[in-house]
Amino acid sequence: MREPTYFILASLQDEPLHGYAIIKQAATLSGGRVKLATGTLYTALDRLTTEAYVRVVDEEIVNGRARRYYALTPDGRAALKAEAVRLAEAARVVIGVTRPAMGPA
Amino acid sequence: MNLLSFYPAAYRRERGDELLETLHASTGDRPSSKEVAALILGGLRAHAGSDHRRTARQSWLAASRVAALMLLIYGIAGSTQILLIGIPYTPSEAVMGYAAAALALVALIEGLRNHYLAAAVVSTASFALAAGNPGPQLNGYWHLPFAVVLFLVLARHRPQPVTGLLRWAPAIPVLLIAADAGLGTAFPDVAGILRFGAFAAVVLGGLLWLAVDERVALAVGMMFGGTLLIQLVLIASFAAGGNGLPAPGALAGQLALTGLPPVLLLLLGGTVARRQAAL
Repeated sequence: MREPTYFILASLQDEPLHGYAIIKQAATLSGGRVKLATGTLYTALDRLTTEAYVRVVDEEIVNGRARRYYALTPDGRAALKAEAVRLAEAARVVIGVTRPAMGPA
Repeated sequence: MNLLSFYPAAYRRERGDELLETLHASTGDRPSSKEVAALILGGLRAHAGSDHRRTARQSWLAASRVAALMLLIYGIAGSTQILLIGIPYTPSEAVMGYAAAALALVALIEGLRNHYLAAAVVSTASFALAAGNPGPQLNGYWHLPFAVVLFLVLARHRPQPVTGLLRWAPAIPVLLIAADAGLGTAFPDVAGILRFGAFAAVVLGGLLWLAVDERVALAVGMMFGGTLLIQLVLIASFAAGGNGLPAPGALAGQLALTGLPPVLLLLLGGTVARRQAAL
């Protein structure tokens, strides 16, 4: 899973959000690393919708324009958790593990 | 500039308002160059079907289909051009030439209809007729054996249906033929590569289009890879026949010029295909 995709899904784990809110939350959760442009966000949302990881749950009109709210599906939540576990296991290889020092052969 | 003009009309109707609302909230009235570039790329990717995930295998199979069709079109267009410009064929040689072109056209139609085994069989017949022609050789048909190999692979491992801009990719070789027919010596031969400027433009276009759809780069790489194979076979046959070959340095330069573009296209296209497979 690419990093922007991970943080898009992560930004939806607590509540449904609209496009701009996803951009802001993804930037916050990633510590500023993931800065999504609008075109990039919606390409990712299209792919995630096709994969049935996210779905549109609400729509409202703001300033005459449609604003849609996206939420994780159960499959999306499971995929996000699986990726988080994979990343945590990979991190444990380096962080917080005491390994015997490698001495001369 | 209407920033959504690069998106398909149906997409603009369905999502246009939502994109503009998000863009305005994100950047205000003056979107940054990064936002503009992302919208242009997003629109082109929507046209290309790259907004849907596909495996690397699916990318390679789709590219193989495009490459097989490109090779047929390149063969038909190039050889038909030669037949029409008045090279002295006897009537029977001309009939064989036109019959080979007609068979190649049938193979192309079968390929477009996804009848890959039929396309392989008819392409083989077309090549046999063209290769057996005692008249001046129609060099375009030497691309057909590689098209046959690709069709046989596709008959065994069927690609997904083609949608979007990729449907038009097989017409790319027509640019090369049209450049030669329309502009003559404006594109000089370089290292034995006909229409070098057009060749370079197609390679560069394939590399730039990697940002939108890697399948086109893979297909162009396979098409020019076929050209490299033909050159290697010709060199081997010249050497076996005791004919003179260029000096080793010049030969290496020719092969590098012919071989580097398809290698680059296939390597970079393969890398992007693997990346595209990740969500």
